[in-house]
Amino acid sequence: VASPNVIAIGGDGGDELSLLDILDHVLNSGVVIQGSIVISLGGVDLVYVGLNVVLTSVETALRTIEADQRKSLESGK
Amino acid sequence: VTSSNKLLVYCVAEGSPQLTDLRGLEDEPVRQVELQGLVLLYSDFSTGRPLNQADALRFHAVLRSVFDQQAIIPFRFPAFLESEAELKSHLQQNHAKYAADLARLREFVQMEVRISAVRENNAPSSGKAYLEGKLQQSRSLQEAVRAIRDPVADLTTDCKERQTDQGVRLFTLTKRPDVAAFRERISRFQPSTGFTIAVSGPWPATEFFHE
Repeated sequence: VASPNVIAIGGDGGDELSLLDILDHVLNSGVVIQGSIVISLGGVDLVYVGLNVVLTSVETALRTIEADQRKSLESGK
Repeated sequence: VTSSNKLLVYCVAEGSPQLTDLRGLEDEPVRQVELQGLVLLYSDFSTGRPLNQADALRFHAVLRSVFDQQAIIPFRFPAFLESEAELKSHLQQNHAKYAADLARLREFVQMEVRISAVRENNAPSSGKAYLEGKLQQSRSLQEAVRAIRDPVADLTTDCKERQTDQGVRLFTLTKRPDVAAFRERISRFQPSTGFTIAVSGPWPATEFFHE
């Protein structure tokens, strides 16, 4: 039985967290090309702002999911 | 600065990955430049419009379609170069490093386990209590990291940790065929009270590239 405190991202019910992880990896992982053109555009800034806001809320999201799971168990669903 | 008439670079890979009908940003075809067994994938980006989250996801989709076939070295989104000549120059200058990494990591992917401490709702009664709580949490976190590494030790060739505000991100170098077993074992892990665990992957092994 899977632990209620363990979430497999990208699996059932993990779509939103999966999106956050994808954005985190795309924006923060990988090779940075020295000398490549730096483009500072509003859209990218918004991605970063959105990501930061949500990443700092991951813990809250995990607690919410855990609470939902607990409610489901309690209500016998 | 505008991004008109630029080339968006995606990743470097070995050999000749299957790119049939692979489309990047702006629905532009993904193309490649080749040099001594390595290819660098890119597409045109000529509209100059602001980039957004959907672009980042499309970028990821391109990476994914190649990464599903083989190991890749992704570029961080967004990275643009001016011309094919610049692409070739970049590949040439970094060929030895990229070739070595891809050869070393050919059979591997990166799995990530995020261990987060659940924040206490009760405010500490004093500064000393706060510091003692932080110290205790730090010790518990390290114990949790050790505990979670054990069940996947035989599926882990290398491992790195990174501290975060919420806890620890654990990155493991795992053989591609072992991904399902890795996820299954982590999903059965029973973390001690006060922690949540999230596992994700497989990802390109970016934490294990040449430094």
